Amino acid sequence: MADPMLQVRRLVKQFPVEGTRDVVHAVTEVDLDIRRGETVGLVGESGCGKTTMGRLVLRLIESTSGNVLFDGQDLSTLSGSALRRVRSKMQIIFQNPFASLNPRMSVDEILMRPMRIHLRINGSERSQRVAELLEKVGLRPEHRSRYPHEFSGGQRQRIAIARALAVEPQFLVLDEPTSALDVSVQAQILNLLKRLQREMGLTYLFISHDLSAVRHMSDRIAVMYLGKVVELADAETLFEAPKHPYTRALMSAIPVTNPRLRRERVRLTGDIPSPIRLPSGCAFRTRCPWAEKRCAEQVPTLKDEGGQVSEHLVSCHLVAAGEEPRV
Amino acid sequence: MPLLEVDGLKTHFFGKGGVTKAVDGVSFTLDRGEILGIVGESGSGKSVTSLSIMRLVDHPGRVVGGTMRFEGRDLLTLNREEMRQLRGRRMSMIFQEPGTSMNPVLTVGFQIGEAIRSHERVPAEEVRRRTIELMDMVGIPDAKQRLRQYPHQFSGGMLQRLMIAMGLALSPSLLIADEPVTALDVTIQAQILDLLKQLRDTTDAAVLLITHDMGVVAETCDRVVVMYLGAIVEEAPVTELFDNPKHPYTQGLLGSIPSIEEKVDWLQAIPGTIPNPTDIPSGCRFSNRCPKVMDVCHKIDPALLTVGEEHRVACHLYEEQESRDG
Ligand SMILES: Nc1ncnc2c1ncn2[C@@H]1O[C@H](COP(=O)(O)OP(=O)(O)OP(=O)(O)O)[C@@H](O)[C@H]1O
Ligand SMILES: Nc1ncnc2c1ncn2[C@@H]1O[C@H](COP(=O)(O)OP(=O)(O)OP(=O)(O)O)[C@@H](O)[C@H]1O
Ligand code: SF4
Ligand code: SF4
Ligand SMILES: [Mg+2]
Ligand SMILES: [Mg+2]
Repeated sequence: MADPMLQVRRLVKQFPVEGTRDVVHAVTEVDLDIRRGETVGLVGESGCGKTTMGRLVLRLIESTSGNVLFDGQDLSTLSGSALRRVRSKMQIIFQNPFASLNPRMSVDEILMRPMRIHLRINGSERSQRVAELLEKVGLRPEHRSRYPHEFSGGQRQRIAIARALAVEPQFLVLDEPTSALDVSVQAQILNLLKRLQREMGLTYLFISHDLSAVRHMSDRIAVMYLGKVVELADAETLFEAPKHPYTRALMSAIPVTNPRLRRERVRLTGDIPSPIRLPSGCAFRTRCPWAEKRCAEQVPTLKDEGGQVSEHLVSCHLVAAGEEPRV
Repeated sequence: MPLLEVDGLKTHFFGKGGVTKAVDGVSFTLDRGEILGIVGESGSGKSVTSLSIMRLVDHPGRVVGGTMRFEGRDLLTLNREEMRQLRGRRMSMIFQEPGTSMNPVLTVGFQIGEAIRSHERVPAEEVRRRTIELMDMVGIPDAKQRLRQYPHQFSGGMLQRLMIAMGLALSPSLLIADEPVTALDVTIQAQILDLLKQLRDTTDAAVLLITHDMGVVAETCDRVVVMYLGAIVEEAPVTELFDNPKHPYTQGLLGSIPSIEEKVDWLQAIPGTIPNPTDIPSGCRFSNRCPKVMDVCHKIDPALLTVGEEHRVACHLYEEQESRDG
């Protein structure tokens, strides 16, 4: 693979369930490479492990097993100042800006703090940079003295974006960065993120459930289901020719922005499985329209089903055997 | 008589930096069995409008003008206890920030149970049964086990669904849902929107659906209100709004949606940012960003005009048309 910035190897995360010996299987044996300068979209059902992936990749939480390599360095072997140095190159924008902004700090302080820790610039340069950042994310200069509670939901997410950009990172995990924003502001922010990527050569892991935003932003897209990547392909291929039955269901459930075309979205029937008791074999089988006997017996693995040109990984017994039912 | 009648609502915040006119003269009605969408730029006053209806605006904010009638009763004249009785039982709200509106130190099962217990005497076993049923309904598997967990142990979308479960707990006649499906993937989203429609169909409840997802609006709402900087700038039945958007802001809004069919390099964004509501532009509030701005726009605040069947718009471009038609 050309110049991978981030390499994820057999990554696993399990959370204990209080008062029992059970665990939540949040991420199960994920492999993923992210190349320098690209955007990888990460999509999948609520609760399938996207945020957990984002946190593991930045080592904000410890994995149960597996490795994350940034620029060839295994994060789990780093500590102290070496870890801090790598961390300043990686930032995350959280799904929920409310929890992530300190209510007692003004916008000015929120933006200054990471600069003070990670950047070697003086006070007036920092102040200048705050002004630039505010303008970049579409806030006004007078906002710098205000506090988070004085902003609406969307405005707060802009502050979070400005804060992430403050330390000149190379890699950003964007965890639903625009889900709190209305579409016209979303358009501005997505344009902004793209522009910044081109100007600064940034690499993104873009987590979102908004498929049109994911398509707009991503070079490649990974689809997760119940803690696993079930399909990975370039954005074009994934939308035009999805192979995994879950991806197909996802595509057909996209709402149309035209009230005249109201249609029955395809509903996935069957039990939503619990991440505490994973189904045997393929995790999707309880809802899969194609499920057969072998699906309960063997765990499918990601296999390249693509042509010569690009990689197209799919985890499904039927696809691997070339036996997908015609639809 | 409509279920909810909001007339000339003004909710202002009195801060150190001046008065924030978050909601500045908003009027609309909502009928039983209707799903009304409110869309509009971040900061346009959608949440404050709904908090005003629930009478949950806190200091330094205050409703300073207008009336709100719910089931014929003037909400502003009700006392604290009467309001508490209404909330939860007759009208309930799903808040925009699922994480912050749940108590982090109580289990989710207890909190959903609270919503049920707060208005009805129900035996503990029954509360537990209904809690599990509600969690199943919003697609949280293994409810029996997971009701013992705390909010931080759930994903963002799961918290949002738990909030929805609480909102539905007492089958209210008015449900205000503030961005209920923003954190949800499309398959679960479809399922939640089905629940809202089901509530409407089976109990004739009305739903006020605040969202920025125009796909959700297109699919779910009967009528749509478009807000900008504390005021309604356009209102129309849903098909009419998408076929025939009149206000330049609405046109910009519909134009900025990324397309699922074709990939473009840059999205069409409305330039500039929404001004500070302490400092609303004179004349038309959209004038500093409007691509069609005229001289008159800087001087006179356009009134909401009727430009078609149930279609109202606040823009000087359509003034002639109204006098012609009317
Ligand atoms: N701190 C925690 N303790 C226990 N369980 C957790 C914790 N954090 C996450 N989980 C569980 O791990 C699973 C994956 O959660 P995660 O937040 O990664 O999902 P997600 O894909 O980001 O979902 P969403 O789209 O709703 O944000 C869920 O079942 C969640 O309840
Ligand atoms: N507690 C408060 N104190 C001061 N100003 C406030 C307060 N709450 C809201 N505002 C202001 O009122 C205006 C309207 O905010 P509101 O939250 O209603 O916007 P919104 O339309 O819901 O936006 P979003 O789409 O981002 O949720 C904003 O300018 C906001 O800054
Ligand atoms: S392996 Fe079987 S159950 Fe899993 S996706 Fe393929 S057909 Fe469906
Ligand atoms: S009144 Fe003028 S500024 Fe306002 S929306 Fe209409 S054309 Fe634009
Ligand atoms: Mg998440
Ligand atoms: Mg809001």
